[in-house]
Amino acid sequence: MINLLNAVITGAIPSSIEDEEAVEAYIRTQNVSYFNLLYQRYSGKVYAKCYSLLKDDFEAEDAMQEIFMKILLKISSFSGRSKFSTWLYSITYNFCIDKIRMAKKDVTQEVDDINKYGENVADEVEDAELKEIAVDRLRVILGEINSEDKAVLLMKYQDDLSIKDMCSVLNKSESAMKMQIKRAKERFMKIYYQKYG
Amino acid sequence: MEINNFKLLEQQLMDQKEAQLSRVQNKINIDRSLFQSIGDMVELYFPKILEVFIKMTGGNEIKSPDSKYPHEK
Repeated sequence: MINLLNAVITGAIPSSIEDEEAVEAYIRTQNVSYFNLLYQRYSGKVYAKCYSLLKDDFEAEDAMQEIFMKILLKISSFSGRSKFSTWLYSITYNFCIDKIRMAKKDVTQEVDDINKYGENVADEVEDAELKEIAVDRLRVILGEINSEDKAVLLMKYQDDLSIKDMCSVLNKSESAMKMQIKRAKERFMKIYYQKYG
Repeated sequence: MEINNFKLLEQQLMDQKEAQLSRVQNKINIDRSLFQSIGDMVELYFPKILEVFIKMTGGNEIKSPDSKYPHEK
């Protein structure tokens, strides 16, 4: 926050600039203030995601550094077809999931058997029911479910990503995505009922 | 207003880690400066190194097109 204010006070960049405009301006001018603005806007969210997925302070910090370095190196390939935030979250989730897979061989269930369950089944567990679970309980349950389920739930409830955006983040079809959301919610609620009745 | 404790949890995590965020920002800026310096050095010295290498292998010097009109000496 202090850095952002400094940049604005020194007249480096306007604070109201859109993310996509900041990216474009950074590519054009290589002025680090634009990158710092994006960092100020998103570092907290990226850190929260890394910490939720990796469950370790130091790993989350390292992951965040690597993710922002990746952003810095790949920023010229940002096409603007999606929002900057969606692109950033995509890199964040995939980085963390890959890291967990490499470390633990975390095997998650494939969700291609959509025909068995039919479509539009993602809303069987009410969204409001999940959103109203107390924060301390939420923290406990998120600590117990697998990384892909957790990523899906965070994308849906923290980042408000659409199904289409989630599909592009995890590179899955829409039907597979809906099934994964349904399964993630079911597993989440199962643990919730086991723990808290 | 709709209750969403997922967002509240995210906010709590963000609030706890302000110091870490600025520490990482400093590290990123250092790495960025380092990459930029390396890039600048490569940009500055690579043509010279290439020229030396070409001369060593018996090639001709690369002539820069400094004249606007190539037929003029």
